[in-house]
Amino acid sequence: MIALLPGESRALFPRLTDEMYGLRLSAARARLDRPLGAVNRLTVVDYFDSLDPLYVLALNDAERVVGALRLLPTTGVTMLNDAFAASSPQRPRIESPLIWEASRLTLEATENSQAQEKIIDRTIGEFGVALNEIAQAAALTHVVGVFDSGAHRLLSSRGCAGETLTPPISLDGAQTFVALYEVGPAMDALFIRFLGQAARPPVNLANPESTRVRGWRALKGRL
Amino acid sequence: MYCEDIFDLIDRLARADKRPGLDRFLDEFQRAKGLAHVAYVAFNLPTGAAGRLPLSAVCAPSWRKLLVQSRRVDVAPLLRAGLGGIAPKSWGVLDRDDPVVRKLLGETLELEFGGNGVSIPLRGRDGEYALFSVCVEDAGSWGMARHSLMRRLMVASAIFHAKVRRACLARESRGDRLTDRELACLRLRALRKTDDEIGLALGASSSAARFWLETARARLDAATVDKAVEIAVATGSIRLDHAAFGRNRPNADNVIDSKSLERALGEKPVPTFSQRALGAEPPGRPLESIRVTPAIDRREQ
Repeated sequence: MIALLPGESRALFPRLTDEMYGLRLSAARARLDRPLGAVNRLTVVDYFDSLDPLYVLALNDAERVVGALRLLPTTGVTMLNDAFAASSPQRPRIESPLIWEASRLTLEATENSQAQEKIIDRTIGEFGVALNEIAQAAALTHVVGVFDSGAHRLLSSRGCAGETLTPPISLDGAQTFVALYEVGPAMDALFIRFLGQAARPPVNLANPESTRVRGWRALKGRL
Repeated sequence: MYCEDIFDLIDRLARADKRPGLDRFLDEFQRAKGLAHVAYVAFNLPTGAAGRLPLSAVCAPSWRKLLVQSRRVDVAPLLRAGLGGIAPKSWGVLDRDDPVVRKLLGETLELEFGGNGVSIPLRGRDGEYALFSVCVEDAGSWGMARHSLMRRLMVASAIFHAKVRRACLARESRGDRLTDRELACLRLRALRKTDDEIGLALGASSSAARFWLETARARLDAATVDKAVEIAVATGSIRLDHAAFGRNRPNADNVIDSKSLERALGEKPVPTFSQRALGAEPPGRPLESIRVTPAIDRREQ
């Protein structure tokens, strides 16, 4: 199940927020692309999290976060345009109100995925379908994915890594991949094959009607 | 912040030289789209050496009067709910149980703006936040063409915000310089090439072609890609003066058309133009004369 958590509503959903950051922390430690001891909460919560992005969370049946993704409009400050600007200042900014950036894709057990292939397949499928739906609702044309090597590997192995937009970018020894997805039926088809059943629409946690329909309103306190 | 401060700022903006243009744009937009009301509010706008404006806003005079009388600063119904997020918010999904929302939406009805609308949060590269809200009188027509109207609103709100930014920065430049790839896409679009043909020419997909056309459109603050092409031609960013080209006229080997595309669709689309060559085409050599070569410009791969 996919839940949308607007950044400005994080305080209302402390458990989900904490689990999302915990997932990032686990993935960063598993990648071992940073010195031991350097990976802590402060390194996985970055400046872009302070910009009230839209978080897309994948929840399992027990309502635990098993995947997370962050969305930011490219008209504002983004990872691709600002975090990597120092490493390649010649790269032009990608700015459009109809293009958003998806970053910090994190899945549970990103590195040790053997035992959880089906869960990861399903989570990736849910993410893709939900991303397409969110983008269509906002009348977007494209989504630019900015993924670390672990996430990129998972997407590539499933044939849904998107179209390569730039060569991999290296920052602090870690490689980042930039992928392009066009919003529309093709994007839906790319991801929906991982879903065994019809995709359920995402639950917008900030939308009272959405949570009411799904019976989530009573759960708000414990999310 | 006291409302006097805010309306002092609004009045200062209203007296500025470039404000009539913004007002006219807003009015024209409102009339053209049949919208009951358009409001724009921005925080933390960059103003160059003059320091940052804490807030600027444009909204209907009747609403401003009401706000002054009630000594409040909520200049749009979704100011509180909408400014923090990034996704457009339809007023239909607001929590009507919230007394603040109920009160503010009641005001829009009282002022005959209607209770149907959408607010589009805007983010700027200098960290500014803005909110562009519109009211729609006819909810039926709103529902029927929602997606296309939403896209136009997204584009229009971004263009409006860009104009405000430029007015505040007192700069006349039209955003960043177009990249070589964007110029190449615009040139090919100007030559009436399809997205597939443009993608093939650039060694990319049609989706990528649409992506670069969209970034070019946004960089030029154009409402549509066709308008962006017009602007690029008018400003000399791309040249299409075929009459001046006396040599290297197109022939069957070097023109990409639908027939050659059909042939190529069965093959791997490796051949491509050099985007830099396409973007900065020297006079005397028409675009059609550029030969398709296997060489890929690695600078932008």
